[in-house]
Amino acid sequence: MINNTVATNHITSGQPAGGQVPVRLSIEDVHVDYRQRGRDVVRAVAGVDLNVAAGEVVGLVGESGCGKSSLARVAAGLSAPSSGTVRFDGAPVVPLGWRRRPAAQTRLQMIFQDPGGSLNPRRTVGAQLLDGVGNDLPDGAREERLAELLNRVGMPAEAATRFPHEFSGGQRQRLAIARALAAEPELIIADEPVTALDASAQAQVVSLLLSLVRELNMGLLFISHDLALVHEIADRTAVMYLGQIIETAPTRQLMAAPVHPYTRALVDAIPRVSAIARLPAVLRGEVPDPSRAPSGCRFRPRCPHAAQVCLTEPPLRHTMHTLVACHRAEEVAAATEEEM
Amino acid sequence: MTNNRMPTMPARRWFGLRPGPPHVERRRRRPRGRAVIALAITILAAWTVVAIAAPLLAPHDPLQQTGSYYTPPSSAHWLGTDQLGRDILSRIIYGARLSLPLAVVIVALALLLGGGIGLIAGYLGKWADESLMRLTDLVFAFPPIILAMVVTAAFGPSARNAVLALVLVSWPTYARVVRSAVLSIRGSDFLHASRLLGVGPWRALARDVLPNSVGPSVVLASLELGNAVLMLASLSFLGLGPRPPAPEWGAMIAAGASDLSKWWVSIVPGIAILTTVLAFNLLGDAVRDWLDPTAARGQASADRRRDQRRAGPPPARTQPVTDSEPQNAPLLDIRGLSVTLPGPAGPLPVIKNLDLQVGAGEFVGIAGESGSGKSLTALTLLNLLPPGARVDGSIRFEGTELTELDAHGWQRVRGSGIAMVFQESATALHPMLTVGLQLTEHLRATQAMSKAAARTRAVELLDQVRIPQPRRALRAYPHQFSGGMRQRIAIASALACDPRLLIADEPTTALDVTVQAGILALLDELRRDNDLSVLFITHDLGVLSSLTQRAYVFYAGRVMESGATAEVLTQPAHPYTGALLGARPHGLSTQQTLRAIPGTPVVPGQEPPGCPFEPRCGYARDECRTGPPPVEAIGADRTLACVVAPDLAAAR
Repeated sequence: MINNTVATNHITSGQPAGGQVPVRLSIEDVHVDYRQRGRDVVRAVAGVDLNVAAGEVVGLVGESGCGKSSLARVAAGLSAPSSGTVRFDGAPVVPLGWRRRPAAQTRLQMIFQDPGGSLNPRRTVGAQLLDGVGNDLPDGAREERLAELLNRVGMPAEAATRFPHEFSGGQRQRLAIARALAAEPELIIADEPVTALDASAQAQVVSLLLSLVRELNMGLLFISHDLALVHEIADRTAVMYLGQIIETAPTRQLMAAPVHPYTRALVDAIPRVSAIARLPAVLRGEVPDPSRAPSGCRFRPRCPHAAQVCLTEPPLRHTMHTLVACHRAEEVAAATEEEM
Repeated sequence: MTNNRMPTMPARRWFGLRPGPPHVERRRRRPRGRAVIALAITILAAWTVVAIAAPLLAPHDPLQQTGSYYTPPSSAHWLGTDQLGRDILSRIIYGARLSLPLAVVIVALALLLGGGIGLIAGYLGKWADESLMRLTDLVFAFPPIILAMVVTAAFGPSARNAVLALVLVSWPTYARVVRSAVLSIRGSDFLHASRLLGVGPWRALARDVLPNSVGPSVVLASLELGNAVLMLASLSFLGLGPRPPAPEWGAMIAAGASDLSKWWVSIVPGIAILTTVLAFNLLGDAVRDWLDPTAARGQASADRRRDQRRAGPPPARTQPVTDSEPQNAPLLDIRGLSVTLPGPAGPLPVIKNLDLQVGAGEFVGIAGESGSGKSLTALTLLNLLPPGARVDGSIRFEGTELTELDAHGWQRVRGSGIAMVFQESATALHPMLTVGLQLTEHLRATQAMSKAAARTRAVELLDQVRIPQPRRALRAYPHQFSGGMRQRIAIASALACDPRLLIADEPTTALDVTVQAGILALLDELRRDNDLSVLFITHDLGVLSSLTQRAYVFYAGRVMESGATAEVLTQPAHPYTGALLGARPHGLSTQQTLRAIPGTPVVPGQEPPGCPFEPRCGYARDECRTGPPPVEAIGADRTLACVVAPDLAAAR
């Protein structure tokens, strides 16, 4: 296995400079286009760079249609990017085709959103978990591994002989996690893994994922539309709008002092429990059709701070400890500080 | 295959678009009775026994002349003889040896060939799919029986050629059915997941794709068996089937067809074909019902449902239906409401002894996990419960006792008293009709407006819910709007008849936070402007806090705690409310972390004998296990159903 060890650059990762942390997943200038008959090309992902290091939990936040799921599929190798590269442990990720996946890349796993659809309804849980356990192990060792996997996600060993429909949504999502763990992953991409679950099951699954990541020193790319939830789990969070990452920062800082106006709108839109009823702030306008993305800064038509300079596309630059794609980041920050 | 979620009926009926009586909408395909299925199986079993034991059962040699020509049924030849003096009964019995196995072989080969082609086309996709599907189109373009005739005529009549011809014309149906099933599996997460684990293509095909895509084709095959018998008989009738003197039923009919005075010659094989085909078809229906569990419900008619509801009169029966209410009576007053739904093992209590009030102009929230009875409460208020549901207790709305209403009365309440907005706005709007048509049809049906007046009002409504360019929006279809805009249109539609109470069942759960913020602001505005009461159902305590004045926390069909929202959420009395608060992301707070509630929510019908939350509660004591805790008032307008909480509060 090639471990692509690089010095973590605090500009690209937003982490303190220093230590040598192996980058597990590196996404470089990835574009994803969808061509539909009789319609314009939809550019779902328009040039994204993102790294996930070993033991790091990276949150990817954005609203529906921002391209986060397209990016997840490409990053996991379910489909090929239109351009750009995705590397896992230094080697380009091979998109799934007819052929079997290279053994080394089975250590890049994915957890899906729909707990009802991510397990085969007609096979026992055990059989599906064993898909990821090497065939060369003797039967006894396979059984042992199965019990260990179920135990790790807090399920009884008897679950192995049962079928997916016998479990609740939260339990199925744990089983899906156990199946991903079967391949001894170094990195897991979780695409909205708890969106379909109730609050109590959400908390259970998120806590489980987090403890597993810490224990097994995996990397985790946690994709969600729920900024409050990402706040609970991610070390570092990237915010996506209309196919591009517009801000990356350590999660706490991102939530406490969002720089990009869109990130600020997202944070302000979270309904909070408080003694005085207060409606969440409203962001004007709607997400534009990705096939007709605005020129210049893509957030410009909805941005309360838009100015002449925003007609040109802002680069992702290092501003106030975070990476922000906003021409006016400094002015906006100064203005909001005055407000407070 | 698309996951076609279209429970539009309740929504549409309530919106007044199709004010048909409920039983018309609720009627579904009724599964075949057990007796009919048993009869079909008996007939097929009998034919099978006849075929196997033909040499023992047949009184004569089917191929030899054993009497004079065309003898009518007699004691020597029970079913008479044919044009060559052969015993018809014996020929029918031996005919079963031919027709039944050949039909099975035809269907099996067609399933194998068509299934294989469908599997390859669906799984490989692209050019393989394109070319194979064009091939099936080509075969489909010919009438099957003509094509089969051409093939057998070209290769010469024989049993083998007839079978091959029929396989050739029937495989495309299987190919299409299997292909569409495979296509839906190909995009499924579980197939992706196993491929990501490194499972090879063939194993994935065998374990993930095949078992999940054969279901529909098995149903099709069982339905096609009868068809195969018929097609084979047709070819034989035309002289293109098994060669004479083989006793084929179709050929036997042909022998008597020229002279109907010798009726027994064709009638008897006709009956043989009829019974077999009928039995196969009934069996196919049974297989379909068995594999499709959604078809096996719906026996309870709406009338029976209404009777059942009547069976449980509300406790306060002595009062007239509309008596004069005191001035400060709440708009909606629910007392002692219990709802049971029919379950596989008897009635399931889903709402238990519910008391809930909504005042005029008040914003009231219901919070709880899925399965807690929140949505069923809403459906009860609109009489949209599934068939067989039983409602006890009292629901008074504007002084009217809703539990005593007939269908017409409900129509009036749904038309202008209580309106509802659902979570999936897409399902509440008809996808094939323009927004304008849906809004105006609604207005014209319920308020007898002219076309022009309805249009003006529709523009007003869309403007009220902040749809940009409302005139243009009227001409657009629901899919042309974003989720947030669709939800606004659904709200406009709900407001069309000036309801007093709007029930919003998780209207923002499927939306993004920024879109949600817009909808919440809109609802708040509407409440202020229209003197509207809102009953807001949500699982998001943040939404509850920002919007509602009073809140009810539901668990397992019971109210655990209620009171002013701010008090309930900042000083929760019930351990369950506290646990819910702990399990939600805290946003900006950096000290707290998620505290998951252990265990899983209670399933209706499996509640513990005591407090429903007891098995998951960190403070449970012995007295929690003896019986459900009583709902007690603990302060002004505040209730609690917990025997432990007062002690906990004292200890704090």
